[in-house]
Amino acid sequence: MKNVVLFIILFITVGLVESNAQSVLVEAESFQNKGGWVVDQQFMDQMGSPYIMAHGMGEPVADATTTVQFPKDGAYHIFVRTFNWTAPWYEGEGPGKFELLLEGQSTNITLGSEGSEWIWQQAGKVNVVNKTLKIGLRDLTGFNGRVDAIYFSKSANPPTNDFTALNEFRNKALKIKPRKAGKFDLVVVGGGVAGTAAAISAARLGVKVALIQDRPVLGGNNSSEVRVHLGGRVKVHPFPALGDVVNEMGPTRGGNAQPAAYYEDEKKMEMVLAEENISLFTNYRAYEVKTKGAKITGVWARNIETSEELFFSAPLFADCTGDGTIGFLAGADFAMGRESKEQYGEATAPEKADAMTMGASVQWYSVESEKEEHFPDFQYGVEFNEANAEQVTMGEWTWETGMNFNQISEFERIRDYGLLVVFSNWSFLKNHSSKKQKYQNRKLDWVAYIAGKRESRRLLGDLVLKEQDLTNHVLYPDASAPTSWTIDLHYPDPKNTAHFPEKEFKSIAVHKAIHLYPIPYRCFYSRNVDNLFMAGRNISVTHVALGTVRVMRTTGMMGEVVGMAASIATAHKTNPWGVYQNYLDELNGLMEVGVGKYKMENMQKYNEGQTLGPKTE
Amino acid sequence: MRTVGLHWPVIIVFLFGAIGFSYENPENLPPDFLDAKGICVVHSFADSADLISDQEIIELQDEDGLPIWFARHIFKDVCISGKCRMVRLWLFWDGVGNYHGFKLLEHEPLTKSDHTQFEAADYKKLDEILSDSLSILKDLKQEDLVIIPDSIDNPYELDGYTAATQPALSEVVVKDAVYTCHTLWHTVYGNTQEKIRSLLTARLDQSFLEAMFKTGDVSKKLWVVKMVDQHPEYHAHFYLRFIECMKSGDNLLAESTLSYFRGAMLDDILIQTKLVETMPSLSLHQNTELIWKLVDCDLLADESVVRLLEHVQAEELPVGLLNLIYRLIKPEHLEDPQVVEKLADFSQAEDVYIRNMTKRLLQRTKE
Ligand SMILES: Cc1cc2nc3c(=O)[nH]c(=O)nc-3n(C[C@H](O)[C@H](O)[C@H](O)COP(=O)(O)OP(=O)(O)OC[C@H]3O[C@@H](n4cnc5c(N)ncnc54)[C@H](O)[C@@H]3O)c2cc1C
Repeated sequence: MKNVVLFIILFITVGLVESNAQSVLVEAESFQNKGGWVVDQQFMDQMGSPYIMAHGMGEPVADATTTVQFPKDGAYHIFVRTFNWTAPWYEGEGPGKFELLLEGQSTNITLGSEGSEWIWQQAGKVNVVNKTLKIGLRDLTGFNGRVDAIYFSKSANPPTNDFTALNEFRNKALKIKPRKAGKFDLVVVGGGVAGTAAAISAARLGVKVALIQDRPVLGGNNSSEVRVHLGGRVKVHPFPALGDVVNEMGPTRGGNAQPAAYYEDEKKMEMVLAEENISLFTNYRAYEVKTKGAKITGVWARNIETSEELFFSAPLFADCTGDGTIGFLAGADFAMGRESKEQYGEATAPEKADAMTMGASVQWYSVESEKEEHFPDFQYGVEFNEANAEQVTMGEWTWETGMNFNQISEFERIRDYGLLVVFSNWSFLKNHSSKKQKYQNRKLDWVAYIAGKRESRRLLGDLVLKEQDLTNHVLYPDASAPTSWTIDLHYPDPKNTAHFPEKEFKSIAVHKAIHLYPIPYRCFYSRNVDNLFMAGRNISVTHVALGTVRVMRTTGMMGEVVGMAASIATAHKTNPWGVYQNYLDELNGLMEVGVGKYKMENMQKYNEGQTLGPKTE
Repeated sequence: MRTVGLHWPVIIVFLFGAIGFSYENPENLPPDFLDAKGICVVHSFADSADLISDQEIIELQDEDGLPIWFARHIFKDVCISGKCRMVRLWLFWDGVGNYHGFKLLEHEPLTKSDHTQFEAADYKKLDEILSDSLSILKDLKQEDLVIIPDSIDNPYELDGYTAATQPALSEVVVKDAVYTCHTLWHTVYGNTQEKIRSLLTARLDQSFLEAMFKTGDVSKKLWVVKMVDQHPEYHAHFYLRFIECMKSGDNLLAESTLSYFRGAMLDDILIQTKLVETMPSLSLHQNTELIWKLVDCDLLADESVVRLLEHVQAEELPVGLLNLIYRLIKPEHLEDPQVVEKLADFSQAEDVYIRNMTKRLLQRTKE
């Protein structure tokens, strides 16, 4: 493992700050000391940048501070890019209030509580002496105030908010110049279970891999940041050696929304760091691709704290982002939403195609404390009362939002609605419920701010897996990673709809059992981008088929297969399609042997799923 | 049993079957309890909730005075809205109060809502239902059992003769006998069982627990584990035996003894050591659970840390547990030369995963 990234992070201690004679731009995520503020990169592709957020679950978080160098002394206007995140549901002042500190003193201007979209909010003026200024952000509420950037300008005009223009402004202002990350055989984007398994599998077969992950930890939904446990079966017919990597890196204990330790982040990280052939780039988000004809030649990624940019080139790429971001940027064919019955003849599909997807979850839990615990009154447009409140002390997968919203372009709103309902419901239980006594000593211990996604883009491959393939057990010659979970599709919970029409936040799951079904390899590469593999929930399946394949032991096995195929493609200088066309036997050979490193009994025995369905054909 | 008084058990020594009970035993039922030999003890039982059944519980004891089974002669009305049908049978609980079986009286078969008799398969099903202490019937009231069609004015009939059994239930009850199943299930898991348990706890002392445990009978061992869990004063006497039981081929016993060890108990160095020593004989699942439990305890003895590392070296524990084992290691452990030596070995391991993780652990614990 090359320690490029760790090195860079360690040595960039001063935040990335632009300065010219007239203005200085400070990216909030580059603050030297973030105090209790967290870095949130999830919506970078929509609003242009990572930001920092005061995720204090109702308790103000510690100040973030940094020192800014100015080219010139004198008076500057100050603008802070922020907005009122509850604006979609509530017209008044929002809860995400914070203040700017200058040399430790508050400017006494409340920020973060207005604006229905990201805006540059006026934050007063400052007179800079000695060309330095210590600035800080003071959270006032613990309710997710957020800051993208702070702009000091001699002029009274804030920068633009137009996405493209702002990006240009930012790049110019921060003098961002991408560096070459190196040359690789395979670039894997997305370090969820699928991407991590793909990288390990390829690396063990001698492929030089770059693994780009936009968070500090690996595992995606299975990390301690999202806390979803692994599901599905590994090491089963017809390829019992598939799943070895999942078994080696997977947590040993099940449970959604449990304490962070359950998810064994360190194990996934160490498994990757142990591979000499992997260069790991954590905290980098891939945001742009370079193409030539139908091929991707490179990917640009930006550090979510320092804004540093790297360019990765390779003959092969694997999109394991979950959102199919790399494919989308490269013009890959994709689907999103539900197909109509007519399109693939699926029994479970709706008559008419629509945009509905499964939703995203902000999971949470509370703990019992020894003393009474206060929680502020939190009411921002979604009313909770005796009849509709959820009388619970934790919320896991059934807390699901955004099924009727776009899981990419509207994802910030979807995540925020998840936060809003958790806080509003909790506030009701703590402060107004007739049973509030029961909650008196309870305290929110964890509420996710990285939302767990289930579905967005599905990149289309040479074969699109559909319901009948699964239920009729239609086997293809390129059968590979077996899926075993039921076809598990989520819908708004009718009880929740009755109380919160069109504002549902709870879901139900409808299951259809299937037999162990080996997914065809052709679902794992793009049909129109020549050198793009995919593994994870963004593979080539219909909405209905996604119901089974999306669980992470299965996505992990997809990753293993993609890693194997990448090794074959590298050795024979061919592309993913070439592997299907000419080297399927070789792929079968690798799938039979697997890429496990350790003699290890199957430790992945929890949450394997329901009894398998019949094998119809 | 110390005295025989008015409310005390009457002790009769006999061969149960020999005194002339003559019951029909449908096919597929458990063995004929009444043929069992032993000492019969009759406990009077004033059951205010069930005045029709015999107001006594019969206990069959072995020659050492240990319970073999308990039985009660049950007369029950299976009824709804006033229409009733009498059910008569013997119910049996094993020596620790778990459902054990039933026995019918001659010429008194169970019948269904349409007055047809239970068939062998129905008796078998009933036995399965009654064996399931967590049955879906547990939380259901009689009125939850059927769906009553709107068209019926007075829809109540025994066992859903006119009304359909709830779909969720139809799979799990004897067809057309939902009320019988419900009534008997609640009889099995009702007052009588509670009474049996109190009869047993009244005898609780070390020698009784010891004798029960020694029988080798799994349900008796499970009962002892439960009792010791509730009465920590017996812990010292039993815990080593519980550790042995973790190796049992009986999953339930192995699991129960594993769950017995938890919380503050694991801060005891002797227990820690014994548990860690036993690991090579346990399943992967048990070892994983055990290590998670140890992660939660205050401080693991140096010796146990060394043993755990040795288990990994000897491949008795998989590498996949090493990260959890490292969570157990605190700076204090690095004062022990044996721990230091072992970790030094690991930090030179050929395997990069082990090597890296060990180096990082050493770095972390030094900070
Ligand atoms: C609440 C909930 C409960 C669920 N229950 C289960 C369950 O019980 N068992 C189960 O197995 N599955 C479950 N699922 C489904 C499963 O978690 C998802 O389908 C998962 O997304 C599949 O894994 P993945 O590797 O494809 O994607 P992800 O886990 O989403 O990983 C993708 C990773 O890529 C990173 N990334 C994204 N874009 C970029 C980029 N541009 N640059 C760099 N990195 C990027 C992301 O940060 C993320 O870490 C559940 C999902 C949710 C939300």
